[in-house]
Amino acid sequence: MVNHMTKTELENCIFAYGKDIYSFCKSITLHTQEADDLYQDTFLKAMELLSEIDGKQNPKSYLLSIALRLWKNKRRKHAWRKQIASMVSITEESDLDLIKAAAFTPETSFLQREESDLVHRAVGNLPEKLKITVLLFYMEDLPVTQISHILKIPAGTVKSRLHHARNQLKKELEVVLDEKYR
Amino acid sequence: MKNIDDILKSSLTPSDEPDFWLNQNILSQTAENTRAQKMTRKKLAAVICSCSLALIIGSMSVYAAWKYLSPDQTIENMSGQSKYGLWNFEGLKEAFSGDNAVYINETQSYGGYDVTLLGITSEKNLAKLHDAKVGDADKSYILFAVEHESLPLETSQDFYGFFDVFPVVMGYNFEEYEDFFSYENHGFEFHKDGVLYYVFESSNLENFADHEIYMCVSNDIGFTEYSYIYDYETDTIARNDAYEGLNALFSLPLDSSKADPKAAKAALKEMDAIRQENRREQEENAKQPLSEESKAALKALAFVEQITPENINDYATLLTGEVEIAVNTFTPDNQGRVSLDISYKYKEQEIQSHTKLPLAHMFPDGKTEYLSSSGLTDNETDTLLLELYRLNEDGTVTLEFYKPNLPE
Repeated sequence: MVNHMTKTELENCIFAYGKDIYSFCKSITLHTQEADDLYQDTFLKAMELLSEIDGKQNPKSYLLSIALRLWKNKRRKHAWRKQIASMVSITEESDLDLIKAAAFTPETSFLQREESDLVHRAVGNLPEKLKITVLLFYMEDLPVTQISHILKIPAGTVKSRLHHARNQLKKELEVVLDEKYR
Repeated sequence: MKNIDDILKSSLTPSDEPDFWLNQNILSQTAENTRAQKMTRKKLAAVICSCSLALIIGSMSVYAAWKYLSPDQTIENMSGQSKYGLWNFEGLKEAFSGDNAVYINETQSYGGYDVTLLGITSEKNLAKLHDAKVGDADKSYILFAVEHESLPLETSQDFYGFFDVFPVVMGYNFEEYEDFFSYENHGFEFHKDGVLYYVFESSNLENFADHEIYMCVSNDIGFTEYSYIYDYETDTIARNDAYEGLNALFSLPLDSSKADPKAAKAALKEMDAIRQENRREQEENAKQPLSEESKAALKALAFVEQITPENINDYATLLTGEVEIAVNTFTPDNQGRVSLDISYKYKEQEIQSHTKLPLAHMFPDGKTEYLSSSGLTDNETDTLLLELYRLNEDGTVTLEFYKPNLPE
């Protein structure tokens, strides 16, 4: 039996999963303004679909699914924006730098920060499809079956993408992975 | 050697918090309502369809043998939906019935979906808003039907966002021109018997008919090597058979004699100017983290939040003729849910939204009024309106618009 999520439950989701959804939005858009828009649109779209949401299912997974679909629809329109974003990211003080900097307290070691920065850059440089799979798996901590459901692809394809992504990231992050370097 | 899984896990742990005001903005819009308030101008329901070799050019009787609705029936049904009440589809209907239409009946089945390209027609401004000051941009309209092998497609949510449809014109580097062919266009949908009918509006593809033109219909995340193999060197495209989802690829059988390279060049030039303008605008926006308009919008939302059906006359003014709306009375279904397919025009802004709400949500505890707000797009507080729904004695629901008396 379908148990529809109530408005209050959805509002609770904002507080329970806001950070997860927002981090995901930032990681796929690489742009603060775009991330704000996408985050807001995600919850507003969820409100529109309130009667369709099954409260017993994983709300976070559903919200991520909405965010992803909204982004997918927007990304072609904003292809040029991404070009600007990526251009900025390799020049001076980019949103990505600011995003990552904000995640660390002064007590956090320089090396940790540097490592995280490298990882985010490497993940950001992955092909869209691999990047999203990696973010859903490692950032959002979703099991393969749920990722499969969100992306509407077989579980085997999810695993395959993770495998490809890991291989690519291993090459990119050779320096980080090799502790002897430090 | 560190473990790649550990590195990714620790570095990618969610750490970005949404801004307080961002959450506040969302909550302020849901506080009084059970439906979303951020209405979107439905200008980019981006999905296109495509076609292929089995080209039939002929009369509408061809459709009699088909299992799908004919194009004019489809357009007729679309135009009958209140959510498209401000649109005029007469030109589109005529075009699909005329000699200029290319009727195609090709179905491709992948990933559990049957995608059938029904037809394509190209002319100027076939679908337009009533009384709109339309330009003279050439457009192509592609009609297709989508079915799933087990899931009936009955609402826009069944379709929403799950398809990516786009044309690929050979000779024009896909990455560079991808958004040109589907930029700022509309999409119109209609559901019947579990079948989604969709009209996608594209830049005029006929102008490019001296090139090979393909249409991709996919549930992949955009155009990637997983679903399509595009060789930039040889300028060829093919389906990737290894992809297990939907990745249909239709070849558009357009008449090459109708190509208009001059018009094509002009359209591309115009598009380039728009891109540059957008880029400038984006760069300017990036320099201004929180604009005065955004602050004003937040202030307006806070003001609206305190308005209730009981005190609305103290804080807002009833609009009687200022809002153009096709349908403002809604009849609930036999399950007590009311489809609020709203399409209205106010101060040159077209707002469309559609959602289905249970009457019990709108009018709990014997209440007969339900307040909502809409129109705040792009932080334009000038078009912010309050929607007051009244439950009538005959069970229908009537919508009235109020303009909030925002403080200076």
